[in-house]
Amino acid sequence: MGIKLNLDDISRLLNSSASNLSSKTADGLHAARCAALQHHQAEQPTHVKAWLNEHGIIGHHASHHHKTLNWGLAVLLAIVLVGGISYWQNAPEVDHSELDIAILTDDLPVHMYVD
Amino acid sequence: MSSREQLSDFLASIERRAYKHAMFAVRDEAAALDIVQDAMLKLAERYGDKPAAEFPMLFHRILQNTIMDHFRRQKVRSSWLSLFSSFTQQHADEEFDPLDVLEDEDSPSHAIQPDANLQQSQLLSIIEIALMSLPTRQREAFLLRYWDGLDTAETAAAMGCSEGSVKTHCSRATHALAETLKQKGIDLSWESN
Repeated sequence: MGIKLNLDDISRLLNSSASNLSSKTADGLHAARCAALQHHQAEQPTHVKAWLNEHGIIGHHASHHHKTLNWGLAVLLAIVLVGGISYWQNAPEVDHSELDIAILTDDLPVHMYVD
Repeated sequence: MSSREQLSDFLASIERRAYKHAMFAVRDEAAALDIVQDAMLKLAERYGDKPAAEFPMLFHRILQNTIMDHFRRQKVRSSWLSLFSSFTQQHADEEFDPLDVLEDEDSPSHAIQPDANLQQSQLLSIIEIALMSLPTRQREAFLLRYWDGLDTAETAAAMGCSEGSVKTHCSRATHALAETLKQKGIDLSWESN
């Protein structure tokens, strides 16, 4: 071809390529931008956040009453959690020794297979 | 904190270039569009409250990561496919030959078109193919520096590497491009207009 180019020429050519995208691609990009803007967090508080803010549980309007309530709920949750863990650790183990012996001696009743 | 309008303006200004970035990397229009959409969503969701001045670097970083994620997913998918099926894409392993998409000027069946637009489109095709043939990191560095106009520090931040690495990538990319273009009869010089 015998053509001389520099980096600016390449940039210019790439710009022209980007500006001449097909209408289908341009529409796709436009749709992608609109979808992204719907998720813009700065102006899109979630419903949960809005509800909590409205009821003063979070945000600047959280009252002393709500703070106490939050602490109470947290303590209750912790108690339930600790209780659950301790029950799980101390749960009575089912004795399978008779069943094991029955299996080993081939005396297992038929209904056990059904189970 | 940036407003919705600032984010909208930024995305509108960057979307076409972002698409081309993704296209150079994945060579698939649908995948490139998905990548740009994912990158836009991530920017809006996670960094929509950042100052508008930080958007370019954040977006480029997200875009490059999204492209990498695409390749990772593709790799996992292809490994599973090769495990369970002998049907693989025949074209994936084929060498991409730039000559396939260029017009043959010496062919007697084609009349020589002196039209400037045609010459420009052919030139663009050669450049785009040359860019696609560059290693990923070199292409990223080259495009960010010389097309998007980021300086070395900004490019390094966008690529998550050191400024020295950016300079090395750019230098290698420019030399590789010059070599490829020279084979097509195009001289690439370093000087700007």
